Amino acid sequence: MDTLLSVRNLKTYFRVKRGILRAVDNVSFDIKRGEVFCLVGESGCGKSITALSIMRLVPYPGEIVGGEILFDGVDLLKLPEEEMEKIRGKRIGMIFQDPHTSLDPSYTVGWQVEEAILLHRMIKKVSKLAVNLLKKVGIPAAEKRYREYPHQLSGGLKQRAMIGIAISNSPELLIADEPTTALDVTIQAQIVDLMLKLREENGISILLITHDMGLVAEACDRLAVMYAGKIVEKGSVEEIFSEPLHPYTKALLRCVPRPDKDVEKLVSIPGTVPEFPPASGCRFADRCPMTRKECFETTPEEVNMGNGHRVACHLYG
Amino acid sequence: MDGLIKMGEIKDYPSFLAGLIIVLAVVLTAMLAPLISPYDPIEQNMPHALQPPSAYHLLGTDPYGRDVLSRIIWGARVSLYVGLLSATIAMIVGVPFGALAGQLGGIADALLSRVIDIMLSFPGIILAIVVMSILGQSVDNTVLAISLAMIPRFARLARGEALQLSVQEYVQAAKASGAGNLDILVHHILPNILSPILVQYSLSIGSAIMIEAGLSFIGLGVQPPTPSWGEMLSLGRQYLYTAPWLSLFPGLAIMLTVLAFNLLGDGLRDMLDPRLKRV
Repeated sequence: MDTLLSVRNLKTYFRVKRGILRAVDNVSFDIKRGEVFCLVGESGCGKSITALSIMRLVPYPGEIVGGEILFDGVDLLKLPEEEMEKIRGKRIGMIFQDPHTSLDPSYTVGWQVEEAILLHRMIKKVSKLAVNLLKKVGIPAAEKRYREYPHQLSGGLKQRAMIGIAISNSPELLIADEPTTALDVTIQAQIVDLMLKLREENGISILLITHDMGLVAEACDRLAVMYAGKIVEKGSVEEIFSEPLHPYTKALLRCVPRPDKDVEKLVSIPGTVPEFPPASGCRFADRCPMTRKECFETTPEEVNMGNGHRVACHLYG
Repeated sequence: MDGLIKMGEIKDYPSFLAGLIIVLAVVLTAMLAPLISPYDPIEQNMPHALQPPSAYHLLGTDPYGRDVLSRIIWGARVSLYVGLLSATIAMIVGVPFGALAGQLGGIADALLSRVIDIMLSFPGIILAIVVMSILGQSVDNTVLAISLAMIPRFARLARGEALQLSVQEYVQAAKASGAGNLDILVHHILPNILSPILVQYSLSIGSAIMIEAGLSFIGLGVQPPTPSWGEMLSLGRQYLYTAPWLSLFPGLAIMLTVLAFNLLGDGLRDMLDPRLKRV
C-alpha cells in the first residue's frame, strides 16, 4: 500500500494575547491508500486543528508556521489558494462533528449535495446524481429527503447527508472530525459502518478523529495518540491495544469502561491538558505517574519500537 | 429563493397582510395621483383658504386654498420615491461591504468597523442636514443624503450577522467542499442574513420617509410648492389650534405608511426564516 497523505513536522500555532499557543507542534504521520487512520486524544489536544491544517482551513488567529503536508506527493502548504479550493471537496472530503449545524438551514438537502458536486464538475443531470448519492449513504426515501430542509431531518440522517456531500466527488481521502460525537449510540454504529462500507467499495482512505477508544478498536487500522499538540505514540491498532507503551496511552485505555468487569468508579486521568506547555520537557509530565528527572528537562524524541510502533517517552529512550 | 413565499401562506400572517395592503394602497395612490387627486396640488385658490373638511374638500384646505387631500396624494410620490430609493441604495452599498468585512475578519473588518462607528456617531438627520447644506436642496440630493446616513446601519447589521455565520459549521463545511470566498458570500452568507436585512430594509424605508419629512419640515428637503408630507406638517404647525386638519392628515399619512413598512418587514422575517416556518 502506498502512502496517500504524509504530514511532516506540522506546526500550527495560535497567536493569542497571552502568548503563542502551540496547538499542533511537530506532528508527523502517514496515511496509506485505503486505510483508516485514527487520531486519538482528549478535548483540546490538537486533533481537530491537525485536520483543519490538512484542509488549510485553520481559523484566525491560527496559522500553519512550519512543516509539510504531502498529498499524493504534492505539498498542500505550497499550493496557491485557488489550487487548494480544487482539492477541497474534490480530492479530500470532510465531515464535521455536529451534523445539526453543518448543513445550511436555508437550502434543501438536495441543493447542498448538488452545490458540492457543481463546485467541481459541470453536470447537467445533477439532481439524479444527488438522489443516487443520498441513496448510497443509506437515506431512506431519498427522493423525498432530497426536497427537504435540514431541520426536517434527524441527526443521523443529516450526518449521512454530510457524508454524501463529502464523498460526492469521489475523494481519495475522507477526514471525519468526531463524526459520531453528536449522535446517539445506535446511530453512531450505523455511521461508522457506513464509512467502513465506503472504504470497502471505493478504496477511500479515512482520517478519523475521535476520543472514543471503542470506535478506534472497531474501525481503525493504525492510530496516533495525541497529547497537547504532540503525537506521543503511533502504531497499528493491534500493537497499541495489546501493548500500550506511553503512560498517556495506558491511562486512556484504562479510562474505557469495561462491561465485563465490575467497576465502582469510572477511571479518569487527573488534571487537564496544559494550554501553554513548557517549551522543554515532556508535555504529559505533570499528569504522568512515572516521571523522572529528565521528563521535566528535555523533550522526549520519538523512538521506533519495531513494527512501525513509535513512542515519544523517556521511559523507552 | 423561489418557492419560499407561497401565495397560500400569506393569509397565515395577518400583520404582513395588513402592511402589504397599506403599502400597495400607498403605491397605487402615488402612481395614480394625476387621475385620482380631485384638485391641482399646487395651484393656489385664496378665497377657499383654511376651509375645514367638507364635501368639496374632503380633508380641508391650507392657507393658500390648496386641497389637502390632493397634496397628500401627490406627496405620496415624493415620500415613496425618497423612501424606496434611499433605502435601496443604502442596502445595495452597505450590505456587501459589511458582509464581506464580517466574513473575512482581520484587518479589513477592523478598518471597516471603525468607519461604520464614525458614521454611526452622527445622528442620521444631522448627517443628512450637513450633506444637504453642502450639496444644495433637491429631491435627488435628499435621496443621496438619506442613503449616506443609512449605509452604516446596513453595513453594521450585515457585518455582525456575517461574523456570526462565518464561524458556523456549515460555512466551514462549504469551504471544505471547495467553495471560495465569493461562493460563500453569495450562497451561504447573503441568503442567511436576508431576513434581518429585509426587516432592516423595510424599517429603513419607513425611517427614510421620516427623515425626508423631517428635512422638509425644517425646510431643507423638498422645496415648496412641490407637495411633501413633511412640508405640509411644517405649514400646519402655525395653524395647529385653528386648522388642525392641516397637520393631522399628513401626520396620519406618514404614520400609516411607516407602520405599513414596519409590519411588512416583520411579516417578511417570519415568512423567510425557515426556523419559523410552519411545517
